[in-house]
Amino acid sequence: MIPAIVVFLYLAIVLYVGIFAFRKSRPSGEDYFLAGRSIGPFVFLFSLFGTNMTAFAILGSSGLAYQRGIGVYGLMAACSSFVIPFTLFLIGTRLWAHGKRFGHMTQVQFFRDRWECSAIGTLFFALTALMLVPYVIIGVMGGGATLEALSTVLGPDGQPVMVEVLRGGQTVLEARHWVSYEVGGAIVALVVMSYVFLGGMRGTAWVNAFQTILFLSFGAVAFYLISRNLGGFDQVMRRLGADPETASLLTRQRIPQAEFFSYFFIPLSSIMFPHISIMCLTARRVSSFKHTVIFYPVCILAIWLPSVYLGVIAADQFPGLTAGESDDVILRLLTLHSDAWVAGILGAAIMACVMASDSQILALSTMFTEDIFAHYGGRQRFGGVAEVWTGRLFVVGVALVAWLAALGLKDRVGIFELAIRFAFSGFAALAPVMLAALFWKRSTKWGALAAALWVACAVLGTWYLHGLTREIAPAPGQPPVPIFAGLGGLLQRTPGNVTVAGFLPVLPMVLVSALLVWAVSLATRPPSAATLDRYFPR
Amino acid sequence: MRRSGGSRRWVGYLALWLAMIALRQDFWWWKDATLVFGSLPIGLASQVGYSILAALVMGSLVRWDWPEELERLERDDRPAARDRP
Repeated sequence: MIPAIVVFLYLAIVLYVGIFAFRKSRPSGEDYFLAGRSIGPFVFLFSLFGTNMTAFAILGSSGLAYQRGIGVYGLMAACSSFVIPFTLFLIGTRLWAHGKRFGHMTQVQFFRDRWECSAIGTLFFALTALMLVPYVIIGVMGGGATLEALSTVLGPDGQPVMVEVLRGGQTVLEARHWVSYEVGGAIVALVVMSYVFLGGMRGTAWVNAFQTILFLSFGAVAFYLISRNLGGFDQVMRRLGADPETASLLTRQRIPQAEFFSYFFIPLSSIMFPHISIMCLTARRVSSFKHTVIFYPVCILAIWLPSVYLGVIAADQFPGLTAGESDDVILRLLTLHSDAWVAGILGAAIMACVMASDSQILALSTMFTEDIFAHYGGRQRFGGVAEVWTGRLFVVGVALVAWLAALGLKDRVGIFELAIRFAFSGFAALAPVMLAALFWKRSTKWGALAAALWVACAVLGTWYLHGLTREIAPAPGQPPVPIFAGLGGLLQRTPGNVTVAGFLPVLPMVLVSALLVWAVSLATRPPSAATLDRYFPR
Repeated sequence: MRRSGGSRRWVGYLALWLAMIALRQDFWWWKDATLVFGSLPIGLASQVGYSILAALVMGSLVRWDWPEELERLERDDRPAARDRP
């Protein structure tokens, strides 16, 4: 119960931050959605980083490391430590500049203006909003799972009290919790909704910065405490290495090289996520990006290394967990290897990452308000105050829908899988469109449209193939299975993914997207000289 | 906004990307379970080194390839809402 109390204390603090930000706010859309473009370098770094770190970074990565070994760090973190800061350096700075010059508050406003086309913006709104929603659901799912795990009822012997529950028509034994997954998810959704509702971008950025500092501080403490309790990690690692069942966890044998290579392209998604690109517009000065791009890789290292490493350690401590069960191995380790207060503080730190869905909720609200409500005449008809309240009401709606979806998806799929399948590849494949818009005068709305349609079809196609081949998916460690015999193994099913010639779909998606932007743009008429002069002054 | 550089700059970026992709794909340690510092698998140590290299690369880009033209915007007043699309 103590860990849960500490977490509730933490939730109260972030709620207060939202209220404090509310007091500082002014009744304008730019202030609510972009904090008046006034975020300083320190908060900018930590809020941007915190926004990118979700339940996926902590629970997903450690759960995946439990299943697939140390290669998970290189799979997502190492490439992110280069690709994300590089895209912030190249794209984020230019987005910031255009936003400052022309008053853009979203990617969609930039695309509409750059290509002189309202419809292309509406299409991008629909596409990006749909791909962002699963990300929001992950936050609520992670919050529910975290609160449930931290509130496990312990008996006099220090072991969890077990109760009989009905699952899928069968009676199984499960640990009893003070706070259920459903209630935990509701609490997290309510708290996030409240401080986003009140504080807007200012509150969200402050909370994210606070959360990032909290996690960076206590991640190291968790690592130390678990290490101390285990008498160091040397023996555990040697034990894992000596067991033929687990030895491959210390290598990258469980990750095919083509899949590892493909993952390099996934972090391209970061700058295309609306919440990240919108956050780029909040910086007071462009020089804020300097510290951010240099320290970003260090922050990734500080969070991902303990997560992946402890995920592998958990394979020794809790053998035999399935993919869904292994998502909370970090929490299991904390519960086992630290006292109640420390576990609570560390649980709060994990909640910090889990609750990063705040900026996604705010981004959805910003997009709806600016790209739909204001764009189609709402601001002119009802005024700026109504614009802000529209955004706030949208926040309430999104939080409610996310909670309901999290209830329906409980125990269906691993957190990591859900995010990666529907959002990351799609956003990564839109990066060439942004690159063309920013740096290639000759790019056209038709090129962007072709790429966007391709991305939508590819995401849906991958989703369909994934569902279609669920029955023939090989077990972990088994070779991939061809999906259509006539294609000679071009499309294959691995235990977790559909692959194209051995590569993840993100690779052909990005390449074809770039090719379409280039070819279709060359075949169609560019925007007017006046627009080009605005974006590419001589 | 002026273009950030000519084709040489883009060739440089491409070369940097190819180098970073190649370094990350360190297949020579793919199946090596050797522990360094007692408890760190070498395949993980190499990827940690990669992250540190990435920080150094970004520091170099900031030092030698920073888009100075954007700094000028900081001194300019942002146009009023009339310029908003």
